[in-house]
Amino acid sequence: MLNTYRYTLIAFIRMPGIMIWALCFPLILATIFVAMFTPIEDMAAVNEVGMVVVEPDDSPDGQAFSQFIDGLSASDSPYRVVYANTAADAERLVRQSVDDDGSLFGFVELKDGVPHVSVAGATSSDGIEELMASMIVLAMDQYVANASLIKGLMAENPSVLSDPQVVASIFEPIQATAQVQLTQSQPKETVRFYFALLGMAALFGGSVGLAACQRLRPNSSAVGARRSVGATNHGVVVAATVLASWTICFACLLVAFCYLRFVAGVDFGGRDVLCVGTIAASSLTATALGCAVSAIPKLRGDAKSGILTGIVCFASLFAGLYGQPTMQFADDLAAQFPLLSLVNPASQIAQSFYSIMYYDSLAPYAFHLAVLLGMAVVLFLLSVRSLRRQRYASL
Amino acid sequence: MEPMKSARPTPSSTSNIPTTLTPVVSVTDLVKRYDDLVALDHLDLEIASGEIFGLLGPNGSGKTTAIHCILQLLTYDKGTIELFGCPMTQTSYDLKRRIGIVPQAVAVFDELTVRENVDYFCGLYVRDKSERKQLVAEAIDFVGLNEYLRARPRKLSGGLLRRLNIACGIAHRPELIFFDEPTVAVDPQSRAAILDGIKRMNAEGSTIVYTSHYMEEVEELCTRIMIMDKGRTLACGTNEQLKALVAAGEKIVIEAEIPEAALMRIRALPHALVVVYENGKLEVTCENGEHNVADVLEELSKARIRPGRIWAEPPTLNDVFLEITGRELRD
Repeated sequence: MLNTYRYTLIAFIRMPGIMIWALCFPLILATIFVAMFTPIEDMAAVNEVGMVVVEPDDSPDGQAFSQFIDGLSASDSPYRVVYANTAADAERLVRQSVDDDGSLFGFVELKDGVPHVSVAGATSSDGIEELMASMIVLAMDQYVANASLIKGLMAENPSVLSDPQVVASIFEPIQATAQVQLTQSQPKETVRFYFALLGMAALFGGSVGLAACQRLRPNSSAVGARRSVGATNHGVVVAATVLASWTICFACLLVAFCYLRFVAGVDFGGRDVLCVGTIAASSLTATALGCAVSAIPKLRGDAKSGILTGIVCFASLFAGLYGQPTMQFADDLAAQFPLLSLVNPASQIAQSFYSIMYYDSLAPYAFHLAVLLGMAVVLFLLSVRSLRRQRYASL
Repeated sequence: MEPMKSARPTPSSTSNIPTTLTPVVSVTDLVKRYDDLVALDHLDLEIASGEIFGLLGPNGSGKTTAIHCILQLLTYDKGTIELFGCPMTQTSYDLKRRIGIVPQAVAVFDELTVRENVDYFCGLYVRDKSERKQLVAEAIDFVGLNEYLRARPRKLSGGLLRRLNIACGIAHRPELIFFDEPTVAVDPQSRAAILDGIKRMNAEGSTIVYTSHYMEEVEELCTRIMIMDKGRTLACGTNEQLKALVAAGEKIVIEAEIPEAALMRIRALPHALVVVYENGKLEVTCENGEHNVADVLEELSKARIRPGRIWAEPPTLNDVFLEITGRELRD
């Protein structure tokens, strides 16, 4: 058994087609995904909002504005303030920044007690400049609102302002919205695509099982016929070959996972051991899928490869791999016809990773794992008759 | 090919007389149908220990089908198959351990090296690693592939590939080896090496079953020959026994300028079966007879023709084969 296992492994490692589909293809696709999704994630993250402020004068409005700006650029704030003596200087700094690193998104000048905001107007593919400009405007709007409130109080009830606590509370940010962590990890829309990618990568590993079975059956290859007349129990040869196929599939998927986890920095919820469990189960399902496809009678090897590729692409479509519209389509379909999602291995693999990341409970993870293992059992049962067979009516 | 150390006792005789009472291969009343086509039609076959048994037949005559049935790769409709006196089934692993197969199509892993391929196929029969190491080294030495240990099959020429195929089939030192057209598409040097190797394996105790289209190979190699066609046995015996079965005797070849009238008289000779005259060379295939050469020369003498060189060739297996299976083209 060890001999068959060893040489099947060596043969697969040296088989370019297998390595391309099971190893290189997922890595290439993952790299493309990383290139596509990183700017989107960067945009969603809190960046530094750089702005230039024209030094206000010593008037009461100017002093109040100066205090506000000092508070705005505190160490834990996303705002970074650069001062300029005149509006012309401020504009020059912003223009220079646009040409250099793009870290300053506009400038503010206090005129008649009202801050006037001028934004850079530059745009990039990720649209980050518009967002930053909006944040500057938002901060200035807050100043205007606070200043208006203080002026109103001074006019109607000036004694209130003698209480320092009241004054301080006016300038405190309103904590009307509290962020509560409901899931295991911070939700990110893009990770679902990585999960779907792993689903597709796993199923492409089925090509290993398919190739292995083609080399087992006497009516599929000369090597299969030659192995069938050997003196080692056929069941042992089959078991060693399938185990070697699973090992290759598992190893390739593990490399893809490690690439996403440690190189691309994709968040898997910090539960790596559970992820490896999903990878092991999905590799087994993929191997079983390859074996089942190889059991289709009266078809040539390349036709079976075509069928497997078709199944993988189709299953990946319903796992939402091909972009936001297909993700939405997959979600709608899963809501309307949950059984379709249940029998889709790509969808189950993606869901398994999803449940690892988002749920505290292991029950959803265990459910998807059980579904994957159940699929593997069914697919192996479909192929067992074909795998056991040594004699044929014709070769 | 280098001599291979034998682990088995060398039989006392490798003549065409069976050396044991129990045949190594015994096939009785074997019938195999592909839908309406009868591939094997009540085939009977017995091969004794120590024989080099040749299976001859045109394309589609059932040679490979018979071997595949014996090896339990093909199902069959009727008949019994026994190897070494025991019924052969697909799970007869003890019997399979004693059998080697060199298939018609080269059956090796393209991704494994020469050494790895031989080790893998030897490993299907021999578990012990150290024993296998020795056997693999001997098999590679035997087929002369020592210089190609780390080469992958696609880097090997057709002849080397066939030799690798043989090494994979014989590394475990089987007692019975099936060679299914092992010399197809190989150069004369490789063919000679392969045939020498087969003779040596036989001399070291292996019983050989050999199929080929090449009559001269079978004639040179086999102690007993079966001619098959349409799944049936047409003739079986030693080379000499087969030649005695057919009417064709020697072929007389004479170099001379012969006019049409003389040719007509030669064609009219009672023992002349086929008369061909081309480019000043007359070929007369005769029935078995005692005065064939004298009769032809007498006709030439009557026509006052002085012949150049004259020689006579005994009938070949090819003549026997064509006479038994017919000269019409096959599919």
